[in-house]
Amino acid sequence: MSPLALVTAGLVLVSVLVLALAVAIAVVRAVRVRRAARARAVAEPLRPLLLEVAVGEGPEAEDAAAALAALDAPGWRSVEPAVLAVLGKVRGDGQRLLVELLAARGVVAGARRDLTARSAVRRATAAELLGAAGYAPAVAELGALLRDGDPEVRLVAARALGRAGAPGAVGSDVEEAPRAAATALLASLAGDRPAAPPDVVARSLLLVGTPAAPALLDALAAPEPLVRLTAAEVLGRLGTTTAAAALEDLVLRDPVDAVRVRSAAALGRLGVPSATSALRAATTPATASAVRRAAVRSLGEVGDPSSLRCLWGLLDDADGGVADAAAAALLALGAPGVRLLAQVSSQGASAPAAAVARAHEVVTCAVAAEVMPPAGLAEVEAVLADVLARATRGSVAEVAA
Amino acid sequence: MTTVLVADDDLDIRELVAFKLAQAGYEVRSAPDGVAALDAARAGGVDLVVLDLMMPGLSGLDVCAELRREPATAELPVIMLTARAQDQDVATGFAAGADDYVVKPFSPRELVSRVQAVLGRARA
Repeated sequence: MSPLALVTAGLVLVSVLVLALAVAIAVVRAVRVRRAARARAVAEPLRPLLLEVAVGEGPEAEDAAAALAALDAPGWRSVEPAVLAVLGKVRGDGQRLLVELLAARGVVAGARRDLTARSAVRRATAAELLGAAGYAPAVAELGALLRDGDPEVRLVAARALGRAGAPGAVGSDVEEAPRAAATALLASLAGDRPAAPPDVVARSLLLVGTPAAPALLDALAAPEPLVRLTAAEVLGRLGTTTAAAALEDLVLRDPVDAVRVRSAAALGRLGVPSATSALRAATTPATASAVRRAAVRSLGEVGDPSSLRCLWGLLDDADGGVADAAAAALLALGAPGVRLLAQVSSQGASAPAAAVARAHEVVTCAVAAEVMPPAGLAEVEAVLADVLARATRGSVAEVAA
Repeated sequence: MTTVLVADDDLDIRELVAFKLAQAGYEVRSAPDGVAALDAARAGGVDLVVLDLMMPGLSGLDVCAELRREPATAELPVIMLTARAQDQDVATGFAAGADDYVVKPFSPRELVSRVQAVLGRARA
């Protein structure tokens, strides 16, 4: 055969293969579209039943769940994706009914089995489902998954633990689940490298909520700074006022500045007046700058008038960040702080120039931005009126002399 | 009949809220994004809006602020329904003019109670 014939034959063969491939792709697509349309046609009439289950109220919802649980295999296959899509969007009775439905259809048991599957995708998918279900009995298995070799699986498990350990979770282990979830989440932060991103762990601990408090309080004494820091952050956001004394101790004595900063911020969120003394002590110049700034901000959030003098003294601090934070904290203190700022602002040469400028700036900006509370405005007006009166008396005296 | 507008880009949420509110005796209109929600509210006949915070195009916050700016809709009660649950998010929602704030995943029963309460306050 000549070279030209060989080339021609080769081209024809390639063309035939390309054509065959195109036809195969078109056929597969058509089959998928038909299958999806068939599934939709079966699932569409079942949609009202699913919505009835998901809103979860009364005997109608129970009946709808029973009807879905009794579907034949093709019917269930068509409606299952919709059930899974709705799962995790509702809580309360609807969530409970959906989980019971999935349990009746064997989906929950399958997901629990898949938590130990060889495929990381299957393990992550199973953890995601059990998390969306808020399925408390799976907390121990999800906790074990935080030691998975795949970082994506660990991340999904950390997220799922927040939902499965939350007070609204469903299942037989609801009472034990929050503490177990909190303990597992905090343990994931121990060691050289955290098993899951600390912000994800913190969010999950927040979802677990107040029942996580005992484990979080224990974690304030953990040897790992990341564990102490996260526990401090979450306790502050949860408003666990019983943590105040332990947090004060961390602010004053923890060897790691980042832990001291988070503890100071947590005390500000808690707003416990008894923390004022520790926060004031953390503002001394010997303390790290970041800790001082956090402590000053928190003094403003706590709002105890006993911090007025301390904040006043910091208005001309050599650390501009601390001084700015002191001005903002005085503003946050309300009427007494605003009165002090207005007085400093109007003192002119009799006060440190930096303090006068800073006080003037923060008062002016607060008035201009209309964030000054009415009581604060009244204080500013009173001080300005007093300054004007004194200036007028001075002028009259000068004229008289 | 009292009419509630439900604006959410998630079809499941729209249908769930609409189903529950219809069960509770409300007439429900739906909007899949912020622009459609604003158009529907401006068209009138709406007594309350259930508004998702994160929607394509115009966010729930934008829609709420726009409703408050326009005299015809300034008093229209708005309930935010959103996955954003941080203190700051809630404060931002109220600052934009929301009358109430419901966090996803939500309890349909609780949502209806809040709709009733907000409507009751608005009519008082």
